[in-house]
Amino acid sequence: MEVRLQLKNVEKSYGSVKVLKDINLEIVGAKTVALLGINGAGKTTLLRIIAGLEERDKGSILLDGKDTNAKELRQIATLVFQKTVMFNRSVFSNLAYGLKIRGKKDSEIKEEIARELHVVGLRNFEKRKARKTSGGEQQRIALSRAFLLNPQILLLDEPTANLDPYNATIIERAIMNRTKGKGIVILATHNLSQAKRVADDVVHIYEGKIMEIADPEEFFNNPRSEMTRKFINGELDY
Amino acid sequence: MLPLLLTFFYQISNVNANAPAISKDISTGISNSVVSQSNWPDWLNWTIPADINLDLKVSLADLVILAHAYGSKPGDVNWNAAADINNDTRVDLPDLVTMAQSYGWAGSTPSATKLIVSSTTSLYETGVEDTMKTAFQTKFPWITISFLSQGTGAAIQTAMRGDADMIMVHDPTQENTFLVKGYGVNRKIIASNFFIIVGPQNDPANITGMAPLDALKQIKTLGEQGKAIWISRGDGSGTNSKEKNLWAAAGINWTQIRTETSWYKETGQGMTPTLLVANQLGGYTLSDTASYLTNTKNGNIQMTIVVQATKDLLNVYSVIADNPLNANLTKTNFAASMLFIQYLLSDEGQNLLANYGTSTFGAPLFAPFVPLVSTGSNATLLSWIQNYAYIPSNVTECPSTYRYDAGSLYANSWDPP
Amino acid sequence: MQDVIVQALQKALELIFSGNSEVYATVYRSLYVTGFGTLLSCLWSIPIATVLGLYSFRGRWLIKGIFSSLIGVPTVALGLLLYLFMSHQGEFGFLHLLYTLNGISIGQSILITPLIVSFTSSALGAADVQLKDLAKTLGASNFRTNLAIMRETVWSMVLAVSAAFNRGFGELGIAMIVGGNLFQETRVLTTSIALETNLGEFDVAMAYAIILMAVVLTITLAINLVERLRQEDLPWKKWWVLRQGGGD
Repeated sequence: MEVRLQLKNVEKSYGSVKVLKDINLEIVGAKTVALLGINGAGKTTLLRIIAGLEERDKGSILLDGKDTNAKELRQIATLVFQKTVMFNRSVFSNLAYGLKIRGKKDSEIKEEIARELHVVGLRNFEKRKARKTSGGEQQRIALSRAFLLNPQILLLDEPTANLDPYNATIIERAIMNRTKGKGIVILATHNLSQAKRVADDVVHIYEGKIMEIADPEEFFNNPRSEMTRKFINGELDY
Repeated sequence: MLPLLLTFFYQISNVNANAPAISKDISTGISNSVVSQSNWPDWLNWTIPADINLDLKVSLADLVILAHAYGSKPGDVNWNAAADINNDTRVDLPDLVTMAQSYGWAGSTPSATKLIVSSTTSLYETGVEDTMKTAFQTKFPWITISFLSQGTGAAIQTAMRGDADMIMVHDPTQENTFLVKGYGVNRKIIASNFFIIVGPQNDPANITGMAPLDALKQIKTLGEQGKAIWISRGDGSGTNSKEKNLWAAAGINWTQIRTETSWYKETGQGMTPTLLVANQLGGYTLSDTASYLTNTKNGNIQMTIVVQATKDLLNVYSVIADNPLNANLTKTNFAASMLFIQYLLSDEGQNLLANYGTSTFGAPLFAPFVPLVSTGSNATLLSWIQNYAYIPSNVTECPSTYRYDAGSLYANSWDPP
Repeated sequence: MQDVIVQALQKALELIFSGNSEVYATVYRSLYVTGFGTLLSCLWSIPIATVLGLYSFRGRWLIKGIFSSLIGVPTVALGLLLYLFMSHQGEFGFLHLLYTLNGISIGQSILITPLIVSFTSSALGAADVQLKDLAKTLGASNFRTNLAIMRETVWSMVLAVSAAFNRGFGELGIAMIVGGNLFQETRVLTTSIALETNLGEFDVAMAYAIILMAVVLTITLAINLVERLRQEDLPWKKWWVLRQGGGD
């Protein structure tokens, strides 16, 4: 049974500004989708709506054909924020939070957490104060935190935007290693080469509307949309 | 009488209407009499002896007073020491002549000044001090009088520091110390009343009508059995001193019952809070009449008087001025203090005390002292007061060593020299 | 003036080290009364603050404003009100709370409630919205999200409660009117200061005041020390972590 996410006629306004206009999107199967667009195009808003952190004004979101509300989405999807947020606690406590809510005990998850930290190169970080780690380290911790929950839908908002090449590589590799075949991954970025490397499908969003959906080959070499062509050529405003 | 009046009016017609405002050397220009300056105190230097009623002018009002006391000597019913202008122990022609000579004199209002009286919470809570303030300031508008309200002990300490100009308290022992240590002069008793022992309406200790010392003994006995509670002020006040004296007189170790028992409770506060505690806990306490009546009237307490009006429970109020010769107290307002003291002892002042409380409580709260001692109307009460509050006992209100510039304050027939 | 203070300091040391049992008992009573009162107040203040800080509803601003203004209620006025309720003619007279330490505790717990509610609800409300989002996206229900926020703002709550304790510890009106300043029973530090002042025993009064401030200072510093130890990367802590094998 393949997982299936559909967005139908989704709209979202903040006050008088319509940020998302008639979004229609369908993702079938455990795919990694790159969400491309310039700043302000609506990437973050779209991710937040799929994550259930915002209520859509119009339209519906269907998971496996079933209409899903924001509350339910929160349990199904996990969003890793662009700017990392850490609880003012230890690394272990941050990582364990989601698992503990779901009823797991410390003893059960100690090993898992140690393993995840190892994967992102942060062995023995458990006891450190999360907020006292470096930016790159926090990003990796945030990623591990999301991975540990094995969400059906993993949402990543520009996960390598502020990182130096070394950290960026680690993160990207972790994402790629981890996510193959493990549910839907939607990754927002304005880094074209990252999209090429990582995604199964690429979506271009501009001014709240979806301009193009295609596989990387088609998207970058022969996009149908004029806007997308401009975007790829770096002609659109940032 | 007629010849005298004619003499008077003859003299008046000779008066220089522009007689200057004079200070105490008024002996100039007056032929037949010698003013004994030792009896005209310094603190009255804003007026002259002929201004009998101290209203800053010599006028008909003064003449009327003189006329009423005319021909009297100390001991007579109509004797008035203030009318004895030349201080020769007679109110007679020379006094009349002096008045005629200065008739029409008008003095200038002295500059505004403040008087601070350190007094006790017992007096304060009766409200009599407000009445005193209004009356006194009406008569002497340039003086602003304020009353501090504390326990007697603290009141005396305040005066010792010079933060008050005089004291008005009710603890002969502490008053004596105040005099002996050189802080005070010119002590005068102004009024008296009685302490009362009050308690719950059902009188669980069954002490109604007992003599005070017996009542206290019974309270102790029953207190130890858990059947009675005693509330003390414990604030160094006159009432508290009285209470301690009573325990001592009853042969009970006060320190012991204070610290080692649970039936003796001490609030460290004034009379009203202490009454409230006694009321709430169903205990007995020593109170002054005025506080009890006030709090009963406004519904704060529902207690009854169980022991009253005996020699042991006598409560005597006195005034003492700060000693201006004391190095710490040179800045105190001696003149205003003495004026207030003299006022309290005057007919007007004593009447104020006599009448106070009648309208509010149906009975006067104070027995003024001057009528008592000048007319001997209640010999028993007088002997109690002299025994309890005279210093030394039964001798005088104030030994002469502690009198200073007292004017005619102690020139009464009942004052020993 | 300096003499008074110097004398007072001397007197304070005298009182403390003389082993005067009455002084110790008074300090203990003050600590008990305000300690108990603060604990009581937390029982209802924290839940109220949570609702006020984390949930929005109509009139929320009004209620917040009311609590804020009640912080400064005069203790004498509150003491009088409580007296009327607790006296044997009052609604709560049957509880016999008047002139007892517990009575003062209850009074103080009411006094400090606005303080705890106001400061805590503000701290909760000001909590980073992103923390809420984080909890939610990790799967927390609304209730659990609020718990997470509360856990994040614990230090603000500690500050609020300690400020409330200080307010209660140093108040006079309630202790005097509801407690009655009964010797050996309900006499606490503040009523002792008042009493000694009224008796003119200024050095003793000042001495008690110094003792009171010393206790408050000690408690406040202790709390700050605990928080500092929790937070700081002190050298010995770093060693501890490294020993555990941490490191990049």
